[in-house]
Amino acid sequence: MRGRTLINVTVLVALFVAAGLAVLGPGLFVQNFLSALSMGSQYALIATGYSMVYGIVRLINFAHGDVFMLGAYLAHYLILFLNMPWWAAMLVSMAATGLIGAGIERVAYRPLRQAPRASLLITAIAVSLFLENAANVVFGARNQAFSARSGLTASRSFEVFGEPVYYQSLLFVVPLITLVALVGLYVFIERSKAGAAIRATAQDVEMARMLGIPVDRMIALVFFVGSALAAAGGVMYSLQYVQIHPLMGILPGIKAFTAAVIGGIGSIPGAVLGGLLLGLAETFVVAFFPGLTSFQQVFAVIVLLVILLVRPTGIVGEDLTEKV
Amino acid sequence: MKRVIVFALVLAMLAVTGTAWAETRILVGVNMELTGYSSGQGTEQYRGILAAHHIQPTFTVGDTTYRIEFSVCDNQTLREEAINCATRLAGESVVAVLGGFSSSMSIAAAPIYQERRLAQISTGATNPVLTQIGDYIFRIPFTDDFQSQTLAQYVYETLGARRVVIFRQADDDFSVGYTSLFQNAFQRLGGQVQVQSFNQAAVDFSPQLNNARRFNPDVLVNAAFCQLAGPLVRQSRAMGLDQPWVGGDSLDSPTCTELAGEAFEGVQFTGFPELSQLAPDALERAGAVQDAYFELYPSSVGFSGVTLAGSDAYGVIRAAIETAIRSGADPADVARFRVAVRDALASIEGYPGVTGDITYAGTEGTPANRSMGLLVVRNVLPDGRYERDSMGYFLIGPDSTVFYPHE
Amino acid sequence: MRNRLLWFISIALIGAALLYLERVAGGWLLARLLSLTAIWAVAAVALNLTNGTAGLPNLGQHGFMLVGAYVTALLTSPKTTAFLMAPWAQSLNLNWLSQSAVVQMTVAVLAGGLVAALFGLAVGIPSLRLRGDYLAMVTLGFGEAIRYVSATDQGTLLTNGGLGIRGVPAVFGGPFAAYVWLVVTLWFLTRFTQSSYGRALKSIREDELAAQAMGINIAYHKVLAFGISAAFAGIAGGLYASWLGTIDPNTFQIFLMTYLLVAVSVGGAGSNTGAVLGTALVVLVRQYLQPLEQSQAPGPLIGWAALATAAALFLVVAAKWRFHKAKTANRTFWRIGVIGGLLAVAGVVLVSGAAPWPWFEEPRSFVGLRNLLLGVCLLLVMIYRPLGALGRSEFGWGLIFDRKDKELSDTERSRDAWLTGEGAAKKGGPEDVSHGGA
Repeated sequence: MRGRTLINVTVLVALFVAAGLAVLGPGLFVQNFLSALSMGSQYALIATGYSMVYGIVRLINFAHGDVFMLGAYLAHYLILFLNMPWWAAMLVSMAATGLIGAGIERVAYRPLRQAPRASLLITAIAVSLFLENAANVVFGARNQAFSARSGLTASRSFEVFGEPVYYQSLLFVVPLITLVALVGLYVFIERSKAGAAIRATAQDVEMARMLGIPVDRMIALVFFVGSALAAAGGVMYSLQYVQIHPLMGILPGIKAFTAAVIGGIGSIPGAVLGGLLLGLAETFVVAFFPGLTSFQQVFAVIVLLVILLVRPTGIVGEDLTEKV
Repeated sequence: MKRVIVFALVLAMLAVTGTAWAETRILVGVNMELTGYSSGQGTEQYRGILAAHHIQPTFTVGDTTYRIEFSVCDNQTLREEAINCATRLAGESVVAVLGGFSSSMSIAAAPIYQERRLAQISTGATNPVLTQIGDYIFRIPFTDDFQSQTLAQYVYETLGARRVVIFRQADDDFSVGYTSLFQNAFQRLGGQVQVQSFNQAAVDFSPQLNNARRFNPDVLVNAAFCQLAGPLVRQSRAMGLDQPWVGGDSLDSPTCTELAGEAFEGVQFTGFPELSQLAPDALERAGAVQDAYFELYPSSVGFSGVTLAGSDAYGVIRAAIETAIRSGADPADVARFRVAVRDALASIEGYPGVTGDITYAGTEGTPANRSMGLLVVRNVLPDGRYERDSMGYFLIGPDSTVFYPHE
Repeated sequence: MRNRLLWFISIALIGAALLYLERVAGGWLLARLLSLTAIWAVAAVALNLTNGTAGLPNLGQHGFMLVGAYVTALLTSPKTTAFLMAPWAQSLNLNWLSQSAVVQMTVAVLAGGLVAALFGLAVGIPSLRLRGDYLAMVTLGFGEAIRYVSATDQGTLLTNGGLGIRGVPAVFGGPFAAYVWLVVTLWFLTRFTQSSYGRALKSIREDELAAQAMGINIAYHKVLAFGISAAFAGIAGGLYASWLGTIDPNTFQIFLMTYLLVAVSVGGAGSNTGAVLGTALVVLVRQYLQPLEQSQAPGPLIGWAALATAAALFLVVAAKWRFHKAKTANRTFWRIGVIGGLLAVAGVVLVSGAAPWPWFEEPRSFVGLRNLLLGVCLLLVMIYRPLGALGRSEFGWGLIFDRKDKELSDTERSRDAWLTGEGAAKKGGPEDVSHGGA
């Protein structure tokens, strides 16, 4: 069975590359592939946080996109007022946003742990509304230019079969950081003691509590890590697109949720896979069918609808229908 | 006895000085884009209004001094909110409304003003449709048929372009209207046009830019507002597109260079004429406005033509209110006074403004014979400061448009 | 009998008052606000059907409103030519349709509701097997997707895209017309909820598997709930188009959904009265707190907010002290008291302008404050009183006129059944709809 899947996947990839080269030409194909890779890694970074939280607490953290926005703003102000280099600001922002995420869990989600799932979702929406508008009031409800200036965004080019391909070094940094995050997460969850405690909590909360695992603290830790990852995504996104504003997290949040669902929500490798696939799909659908350019924003939402209605388990996921 | 005399004296003094110092308030509404995708220029126009108000906040008729105050509503560049603002202002005792800046918000709010017989002076809307909504609707700038056709001619004849890609924001009235007018004009001249669209939430313009690259254009036209236009220009340079960028008055704002950085160097656009192109007395008035502006907002990065439009809107409405009072209308009777203000506005002829002379008499709301400048952005500095240099200006006459290049 | 008479009288009185407000005298702004409340209340009450009665979390109400609004606008706005109702009604010699604007608008609004209902079925049918939060995400996805799609190049061919549609006649923009629609909606939905359909939905909400075991067709009822809710949302959308005059996709952003959600959740999930009251709260906050968002110095604003919070905290403490059985102070009271005291001091300092830092004096914009308050409201409600202010209770005349110990005879109760929902059942049946008088 694994062998068959591998062959299917290889055939699909080969077809895709062939079609791409034929329709777009090598230069444009590589160009689009690079931006797809970068976009996809950003989605993957945010989607990982989504999946983590869902896997442990079974909560769709609607406010995840707004945590992403907070990470970006914190880094922005750190660079603006303290003149830090962007990577230092990112690390500090990750830590601070992680704490905020854990705080949100403590204040808004913990009291509702026994409540029906839909109530939790509505609470998450309330948190999202609160964060967006608090940012509107405190930071100002207008677009600002992200204060980081780094050589990473300088435009460079190389040649592919005589066609120029333009890229920014940032395009390579993002997948790298995503990879580091993924490896770090794997080591943490699979190999560390805290990770084992988290896995136990995910499996059976009551049993974990009876075994003496500090369940509340584990859940807070999960939110911390997930929010920190979202903050990293926020900084990367702001470096690339420069504009930040308090509502910047809504659409990336939905897209990251789509990515998580594609890969099977609850699964971290699935989130990364889903993110990359979504990035590829978004970029190449528009590249192959230029008439659909105006669909680019909504593409992810449509994919979400289709996946949820047709195959909610995603590619590597759990069963979502209720059993008796 | 002494006390009575002193008391009477004090009372008499108060009575005399009281009437001389009494100020009557007149409320003018402001419906402006202070947040949202037009907020860069909306804020600058609002500041222009305040700068002109700073210079002359009051006027005197007879022995009464009238002081103009504002009731401000931020429409957040949302049509629904513009309607809400208009509803709220119409329910207050404002005698006229200044704003909005963008065609979309002005057009959305206009029916409410027309219905409630409240004069609206849009400070920045250039879409021709606006003033067709009713006789209570006025504007300060020129209209897009003039603006886009003139630019099309300039691009075809002076820049020698034959293939052009125009980028528009599909959910904005100005952008869509401007694009179609430009497209018609350019195609009539014999050129070829490709249109690329996005909406206000767009962040990544690489699909549109890649498509544009395949069209192989000579010139790129930007019909969006700065919050989208700036990143668009920046990304185009990052992707290696080096054709010249041109556009309309939506690019006339420090927000563009703030978001685009050095990529905005050399962008040409039409807008209100550069100060040095004005007649000497207009230049002096404009200088006064500029001084007031930087006195109120010392940390501001730049000063653009849209600010002047805001100042002129204030000046014109102040003049109209004064005329209405002089002709006998009573400000206390708000409903009738609004009609009087509108009538006074409609008969204004040759008001000395900082964007040129303003004449509403005989027009349907757009000032007659507006002049328009062709400007270029030069010397963009890292902190966003730049120079708004003039390449010349266009004068719209009764039959044709003449271009006077800058020496 | 008495209750029914009271309902008729009160509805007629309110209607007469609104008619007077609209035609004869009264503030224009007040009339606009009342009609907006009624219009949004139609959508909120419809939302109640799915979220409250049926327990199906529906977060796509704004999408159904969009559908209804666009159908109505396309049929009635003189700017659209392809679908405009008046010309083809004339060509078909349907005088009753082509002459009267009110009739045209009614048909248009109902058509909007119908098309929205179709979309509701399209969303509801595939979502049957999805669990609660996934159903919510599907509906939310639908709501966002329909908005984006209507602005795409292809969608623009039908909807005029981001520019929107102007010139929708303001036939139903006044308070009386909107009120009539609201009364009709409430009547229909109340009857529906008290019928066997409603009871089936409630049992599905409480325990889906048991309901299925009892023979209730789950799929049918769920889809029905979605369809009806979407239909009334579409009607509300059509009315909203008439109220605004101009619609574009951004009118139906997700914020509209959050307003409805706040209205329903804060007012009472499962209570129509609560939904209407919640809508009134939202409209009030959105309208009358708008001046708060204008550019002003932050010092006084924060100061007043601190004072208000301190006052609220003191009220809470006082209420607990008054009603607490033990009547002894404990640590929580002291903590709240201290926090309240500090806030009051800070508030006084800021309001009087004594704070030394210049940041408090420089004027700045506070856009987003209204929605922030609504978000805080929703958050507090979800944490401390998830069922909302009214819970599942409805307003009934018994609250005012019946003495608490009076027992209604069975005949009296069955006569009130069309509103109170007990049918012939005895007190304490499977539904937990509590109401005044029983």
